[in-house]
Amino acid sequence: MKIRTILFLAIFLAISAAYFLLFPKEPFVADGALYLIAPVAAALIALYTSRIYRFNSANGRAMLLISGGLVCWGIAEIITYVLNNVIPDANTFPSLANAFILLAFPLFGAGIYQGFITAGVKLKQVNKSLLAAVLSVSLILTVLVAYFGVYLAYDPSADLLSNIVTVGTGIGDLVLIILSLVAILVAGEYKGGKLASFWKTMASGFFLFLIADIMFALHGNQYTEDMYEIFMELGWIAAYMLLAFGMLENYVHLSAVQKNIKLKLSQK
Amino acid sequence: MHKAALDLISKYFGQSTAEVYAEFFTGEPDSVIITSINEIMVDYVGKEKANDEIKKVMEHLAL
Repeated sequence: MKIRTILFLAIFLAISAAYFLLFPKEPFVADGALYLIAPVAAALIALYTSRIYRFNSANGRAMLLISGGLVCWGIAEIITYVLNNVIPDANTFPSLANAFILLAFPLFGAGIYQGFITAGVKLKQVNKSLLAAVLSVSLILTVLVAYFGVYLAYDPSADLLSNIVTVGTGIGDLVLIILSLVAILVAGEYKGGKLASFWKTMASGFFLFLIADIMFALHGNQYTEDMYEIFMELGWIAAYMLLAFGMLENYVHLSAVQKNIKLKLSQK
Repeated sequence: MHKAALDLISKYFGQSTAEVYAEFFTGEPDSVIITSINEIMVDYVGKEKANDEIKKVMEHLAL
């Protein structure tokens, strides 16, 4: 990832943190419209990136499916915002937003699987120390998500649909751990190339999501206005921003390739 | 040769990029095509992967 991208991310997070501290709003800080910028940007940039591939190529299919997942999450965030701020009377659990959150997981899964197939990952050639480090982190996250996000999420007093959604989201997070791991393996296949940077950024975004989700689960799913919550919100924002930047850098590179060859063609 | 090279471009860069390259490759010798795909592939997928993929295109040419 480029220095200017990291700088932009840091500035955006600092502005978000300042906003959340200065304008806390009941019942939780995610009500802030600023929170919506990152997921909507990620969804739009992802769609734009998919368009440049025109879908009918191996890499294009992977991008389209991952973009589909980001669009689902973007829609879920918009619905959540509307339910919290515009029509609070209709804000029930589970809501349509939960359906979009769950729908994203199979799309991410299919997209990253397509990326894995396209890269032709050879597991025997994967760097052993990298694999060990990634597996260790994944194992810790798996235990945390399985306990707090799945086991403790089940509420025997709640109705079946609510339990399906809460436990399903926890299982989705477990899937996200595997997908992040696969994304790192795919990045390893493209060592030194722009695609490696894209897959690493995707993996980082998903890992940050998991950390924020674990923080949410540890919080007992209860929102209170404190620094802990602000860090959790910033985790989600940073995750969305990373996914958006990953897509954006890919788009910029592909545009440059097309522009360059069109220029050569015009000079022929 | 053209088809193998264009399939490779399409696989990683998408159909729209492959279409522009199809025009550019018209009338060009194999050496120019190999140089062109090597240039964009190394930058995008890294040297090792690019070599693997270009080797497959060359093998296709040999067939």
